[in-house]
Amino acid sequence: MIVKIVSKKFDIPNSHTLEVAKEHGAYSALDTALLKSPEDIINIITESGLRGKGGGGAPAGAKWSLMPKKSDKPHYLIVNGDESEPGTFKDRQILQYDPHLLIEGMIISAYAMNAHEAYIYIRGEYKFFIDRFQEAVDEAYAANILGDNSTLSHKVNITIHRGAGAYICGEKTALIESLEGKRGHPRLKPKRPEPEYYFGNPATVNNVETIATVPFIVENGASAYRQYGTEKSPGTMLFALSGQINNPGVYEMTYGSSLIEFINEIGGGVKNGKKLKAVIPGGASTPVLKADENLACVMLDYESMRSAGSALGTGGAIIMDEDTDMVEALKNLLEFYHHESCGQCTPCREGSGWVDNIVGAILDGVAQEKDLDTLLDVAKTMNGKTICVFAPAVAGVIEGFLKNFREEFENYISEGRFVKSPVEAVAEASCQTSLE
Amino acid sequence: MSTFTFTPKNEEKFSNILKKYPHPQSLMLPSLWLAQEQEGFISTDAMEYIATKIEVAPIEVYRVVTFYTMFNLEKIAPYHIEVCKTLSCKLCGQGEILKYIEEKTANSDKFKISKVECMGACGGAPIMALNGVYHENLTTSKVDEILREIK
Amino acid sequence: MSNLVRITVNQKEIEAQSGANLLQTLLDNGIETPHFCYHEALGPDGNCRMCMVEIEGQKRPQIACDTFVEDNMVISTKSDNIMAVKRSILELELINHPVDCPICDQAGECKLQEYYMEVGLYDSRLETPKVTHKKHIDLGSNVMLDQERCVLCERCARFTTSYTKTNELGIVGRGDHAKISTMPGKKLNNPYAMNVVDICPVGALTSKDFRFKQRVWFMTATPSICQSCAKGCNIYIDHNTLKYGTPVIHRYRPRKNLAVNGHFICDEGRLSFKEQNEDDFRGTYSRNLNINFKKAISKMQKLLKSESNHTLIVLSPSLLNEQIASVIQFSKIIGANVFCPLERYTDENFGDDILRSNDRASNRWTINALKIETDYNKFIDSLDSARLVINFNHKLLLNPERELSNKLTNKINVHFSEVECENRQDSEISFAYAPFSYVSGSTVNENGHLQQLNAALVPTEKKPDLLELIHIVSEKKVSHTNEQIWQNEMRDLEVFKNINFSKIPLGGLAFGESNV
Repeated sequence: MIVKIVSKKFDIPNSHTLEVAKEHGAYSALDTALLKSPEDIINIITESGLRGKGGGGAPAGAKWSLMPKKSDKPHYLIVNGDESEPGTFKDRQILQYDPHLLIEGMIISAYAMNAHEAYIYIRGEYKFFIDRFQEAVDEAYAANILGDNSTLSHKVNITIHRGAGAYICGEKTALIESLEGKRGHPRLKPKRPEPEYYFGNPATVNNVETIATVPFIVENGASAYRQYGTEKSPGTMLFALSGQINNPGVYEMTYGSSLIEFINEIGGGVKNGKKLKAVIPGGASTPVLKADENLACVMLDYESMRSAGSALGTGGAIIMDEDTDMVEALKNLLEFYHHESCGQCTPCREGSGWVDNIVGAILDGVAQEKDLDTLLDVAKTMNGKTICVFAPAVAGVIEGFLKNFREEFENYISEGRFVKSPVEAVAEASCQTSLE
Repeated sequence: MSTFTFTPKNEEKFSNILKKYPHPQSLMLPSLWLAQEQEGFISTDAMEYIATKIEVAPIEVYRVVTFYTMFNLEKIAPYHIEVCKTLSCKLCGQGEILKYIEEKTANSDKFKISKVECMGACGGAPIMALNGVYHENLTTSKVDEILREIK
Repeated sequence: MSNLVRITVNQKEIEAQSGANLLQTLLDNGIETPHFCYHEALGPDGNCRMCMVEIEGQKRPQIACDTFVEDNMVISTKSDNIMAVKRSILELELINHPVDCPICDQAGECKLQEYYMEVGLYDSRLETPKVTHKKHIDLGSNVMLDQERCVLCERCARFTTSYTKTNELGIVGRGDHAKISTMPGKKLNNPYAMNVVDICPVGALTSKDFRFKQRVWFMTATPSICQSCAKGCNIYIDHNTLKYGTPVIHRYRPRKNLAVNGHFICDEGRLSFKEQNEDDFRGTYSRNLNINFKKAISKMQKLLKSESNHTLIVLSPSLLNEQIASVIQFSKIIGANVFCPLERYTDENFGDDILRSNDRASNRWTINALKIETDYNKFIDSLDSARLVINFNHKLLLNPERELSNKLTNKINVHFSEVECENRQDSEISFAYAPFSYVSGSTVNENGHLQQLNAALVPTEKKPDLLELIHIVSEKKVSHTNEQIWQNEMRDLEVFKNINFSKIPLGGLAFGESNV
């Protein structure tokens, strides 16, 4: 399960310094990379099946192919370090423990898309990680790896852009808006596949971890990455555990690992010997999974999660034990979305407030059965009619909670309080269905 | 007329940052951070000053300041404690820790306590930030220790 | 390069421009498509999501304002599915709306009301509190803001950004606490500010001038032309007659004309309706004394006879075409020279590159086209040998400066004016006549665009139609209706020969265009 590709150096003391990083292979992929053509790099990445690790899981190679091969406009690589999805805290590990790996990845990726300027947008709260990454960038400039004095055949500049507290800036078009000095409002999506645009210039936005994976793939080849994971979800990802778990933290594992094994073996099982009740598998925006016999068959890859009615998202699993009040849990999440909606389009702006209030009314014991219908109906309106996927995520969250834990909501309505529902033990269960 | 200007040091920082972007408008967030570090908050004067420097209308700066949560429109107490309230922290005892922090700081006007959304430290829940510095895996005794250092 | 294609909307085929904005195409074809944030002059924004339509082949409904016409598109705006979508979006628009129609000026011309009747008609299922904001904020420039009623379509902000480029307004805050605001301490302050009241689809931005004055369904909208400058912006005159009272004009609104003013008018023109309502006339005067109308007429006719060949006429460049034609015919009958000095009608500070013209004369073009003498010195020369001076509302003579005033002291002055004649004490006879909102007629704007005015109010005894006055003074020798003027007097004028007055389209006629 555990395979260390991007987290290889995490446990080495001072791994963030150029000296130590170099001792352990930092920048070794650059020579290979810069001898290939940009098209070759894109092909390798496409063949490797590398998928975006910011939550969407879109193939990175296809994204890079949208950049024009040649143009009279400057190209930009924009790295998304706005990590704000609840349950997610993996990109910060790279910034803290192996910033030079990310720098290396940024240079190669920029080369592949004919860009000389790269920005990394890091969330405002991550001051420590911004400073740490800046130190590494300064070291790289001093060592003539980055900048106009770079000894490399492809010169790259890296600039850190600090965010200021807005989850929606993790949405790639909102991120670019913010980078352009505006409010983080997602843009209307084009009719046909196009690159992104920064001040009208072609740009590509990729997650920190995605870019950090690039050096390995370019140095070792696409098949080296494909040997791990599954056919459609090759490679590894930094998965995370948080909530009521004994060993919270970030663990790099191959895709296709068993969720239940992840929780029990690596995570050490649910805290205080309690039973597992529910898992939100990939960050708050992924529908909650009930801990029933089906959970044993859920694997940590995009396809399995989809069949299970959820999504892999950012791979940040939130563990809930048998005593968790699921209505309060949903309220907690809806408050998050209510605070973070950018407010640009009607269904999200008004809907996210309304659903938060409805669940609040349920918790206060003043709701009625019809309010559950209203809740689901508003969720439906928030799905598929907005500028970005924030509102559909909220809809999915609501539907997931209601599908799996409806009785708890109904108990609040009829009895005005939390009524604990029985939970089956899946600790020892293993997947009974045969895999295709 | 705006009475706010960057200190010479900040002016220099601004000029250096300006070189890294194709358009001064990108300096919106960097300028606001400089202004907040300088004054402790973003004043109307600062907004007008920044508007001129980055070539946008003042209203655009105001719109940005009110969009992002980390900018203060007014001066706040010297010690800002932000307690994460989102799910993982909530599951790990955020409620009790917050209550404890509020009790311990109740008699002092040096503190501003805010409840904020996920800070990206879920593995170390429950957490708080004191003037931006994260303190993870909080317990009541850890809170005592942190508060002791201040007082 | 026109590229017409065929698309099907609600099972009906229509022709459309390939690549054109789908929403505008639907609207141009009279297909009701509720929308908030799109505005023809400001473009789409894609934030209200109200204009959703069903497009065959597309999994999800699409916003029409961000869709472009393609050949063979099949669209539905009426299927059960899309109606349910529209209803749900409208419901969300109303979730945090105060629904205070009983105290809102927008009632009767409010898009929320309109769309509720079109696609809503549901019972509210809101049981939780609404977001509240500040109401009745005076933004300046006669605009009141009610932040609660706002649907955050951002039209007003986009107006101040892209049309006036003054950047006063913007949406601040985030999520459902977002609201429209100005920079702290700043006001809305530009010559076109009040247009935001029209473009606001709801009662968030209302006119302070019109506040609580009149319910819109009691008013009649009469299409006319603003007479404040040579631009000739198209307007609606909104008026009604109060019970037992007098006809009142409550406001002007812009009338869309893409060939002249687009969708907007300037604030000064907009507020000039007040002049039309002035009701201070007490009829005809001789010096400072009220005299009976018949006496005034007979006095006038005596003067005309006694001073024949020593009469000089000055007319205002803001007279309507028909009034000018009538005066010219009159001048020929009494053998008087006609002047229209340029002085007093140019305001260098007024014009801009948006709509406003430096020329405050609304019918300058006709003055020039008819080659009426505009030179001041020639006017003064002619004045020296004249004994009777008849002024048809020219500002210079209504309020002459010292030098001219001295010259006029030795003359017999007769004034025909729309407003109370300022130097009444120096005029032998002063007649009042009804301003433009009382009569129909036409003017030509500075680009040669001939446009028709319609009468909103009705001339009275105290404020008679100028044509009627001249008809009587001339012993009926000059025609007194528009139809007759066009058939007779204007037929003699080269520029107007080929125009059929009764068929001037609502959008006017460009110079050189004939409609005979």
